[in-house]
Amino acid sequence: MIDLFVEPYSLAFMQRALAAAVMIGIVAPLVGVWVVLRRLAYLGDAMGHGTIAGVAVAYLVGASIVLGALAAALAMALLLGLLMTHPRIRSDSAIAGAEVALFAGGILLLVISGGTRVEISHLLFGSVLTVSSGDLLANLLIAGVIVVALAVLGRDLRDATFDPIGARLSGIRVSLIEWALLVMVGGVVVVALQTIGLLMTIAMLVLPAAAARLWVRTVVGMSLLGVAFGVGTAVIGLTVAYHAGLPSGAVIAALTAVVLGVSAVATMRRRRTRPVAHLPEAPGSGASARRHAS
Amino acid sequence: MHGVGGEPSAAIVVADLHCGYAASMPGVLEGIGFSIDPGEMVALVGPNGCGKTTLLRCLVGELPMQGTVVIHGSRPRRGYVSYVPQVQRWERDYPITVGEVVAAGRRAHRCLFGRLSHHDREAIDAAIEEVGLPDLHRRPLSHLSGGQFRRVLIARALAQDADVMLLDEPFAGLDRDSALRVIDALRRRVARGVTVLASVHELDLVRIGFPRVLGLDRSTVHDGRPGDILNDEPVGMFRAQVAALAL
Repeated sequence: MIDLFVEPYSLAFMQRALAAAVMIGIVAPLVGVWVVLRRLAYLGDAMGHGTIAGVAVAYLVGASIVLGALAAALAMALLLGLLMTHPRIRSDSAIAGAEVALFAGGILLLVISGGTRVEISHLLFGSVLTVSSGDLLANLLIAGVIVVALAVLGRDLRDATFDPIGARLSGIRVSLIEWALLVMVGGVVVVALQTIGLLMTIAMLVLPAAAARLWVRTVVGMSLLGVAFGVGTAVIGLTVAYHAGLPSGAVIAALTAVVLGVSAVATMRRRRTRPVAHLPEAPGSGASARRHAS
Repeated sequence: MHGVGGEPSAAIVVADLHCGYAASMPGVLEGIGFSIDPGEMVALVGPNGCGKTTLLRCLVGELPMQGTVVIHGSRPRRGYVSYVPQVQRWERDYPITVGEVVAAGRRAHRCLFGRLSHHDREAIDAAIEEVGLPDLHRRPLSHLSGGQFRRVLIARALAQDADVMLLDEPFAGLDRDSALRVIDALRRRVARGVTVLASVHELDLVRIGFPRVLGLDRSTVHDGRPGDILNDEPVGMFRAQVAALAL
């Protein structure tokens, strides 16, 4: 049994893939916590699609795919940041507009640049064979920046997510925080590009954090449990994909969905058996307030 | 627009203010004006739909508007204004505790990397104590009643140490003891020169706690003492409530 997990990683390309999978398993749920709390799951999906434009340009000019994806993610974050400040454009419409523009443009560029069906498939669904040492280093750098940014901005993100107006008045630069989150989501997409693939990034970004939220009640708890789910599904998924000859992205994404499903079923029962109403009431609140009112 | 003109000595100056929720619809506020000096405690009264919440949302820059709003002689700066909203679209499951919400009010006093100082922690504890929730520091918001949640938001505004406090129906859902406790806390701030403007429906609390009243009616502001405004014929919308209180 242990050999099933050890044997694949005697190969150099699988070692690189494992490192990339662990990286995405850590960084995606950390950012995903905020994506889930701010109900921005669609943003993660759109960012994954839109990034293909940068990949296409990288193909066209022969540059690094990771750098191309990073440039596209930053461009999309900037575009979204601008569109979402428009008073008459709803945020979901802005996200859809940016996604369609960059995704359609990217596909057209890929076809024009002569990208093959296999290469496009690798981008969309992930391929562990494509992870080079240079890509790994770039991913490590991006993941490191995201972790540091979250450590610095975490408290402001929490307060701005809870009450944006109150946060602004208390001195938090809410628009800057929101733009930083967009950039971080873009960074996650880039890190996930080769292991998970652009279409499956949403799975690792949202589902581990969403599952963690069902079990714990603090941001720190969500982050830690989300990382555990993320790393666990990434490593198991990668190993299963190797043995079964399946696309790593699809297997990992399917496992994250299983984790969310199991968590939903398990915590549904848990919540039914633990009513909040049994907590003690503070003096002068709740019940006593109602007595005064009557 | 914020920060243009106005009397330099006033804490809040509003002149010819037009404000609404959509450009294509008639404004909720139509050309109102008033000014409030530093250290005043003012109640904003009027029936539902008269524009109290709209006015407060204009003052915090949340709604588009035409006219002049000046707060402390300039555009509201970081931490200068604290605000307690009327309806908080919050999720009961949002993972945050009472202490963390109140600590958010201290943001302007910290730098980007700054941890809470000893002084910050004292201010947070004092604010939570002032609204009567000393034992709930670590309690998640999901475990609070509506009245407790409102007091947490008030505590956040108190902890902020702002020059101007704007409160939208701060006593809604509070029992009388808690409401009087909040009034005392606001009075202590006013004694230190803080300006308080609160929309209030509880007219007995207006009489008890607010020396000055602004009666709002979309295009008109009736300005005076509680006894003048609440019994005055032009603001006759309060007569039924006043009569009920007298019984």
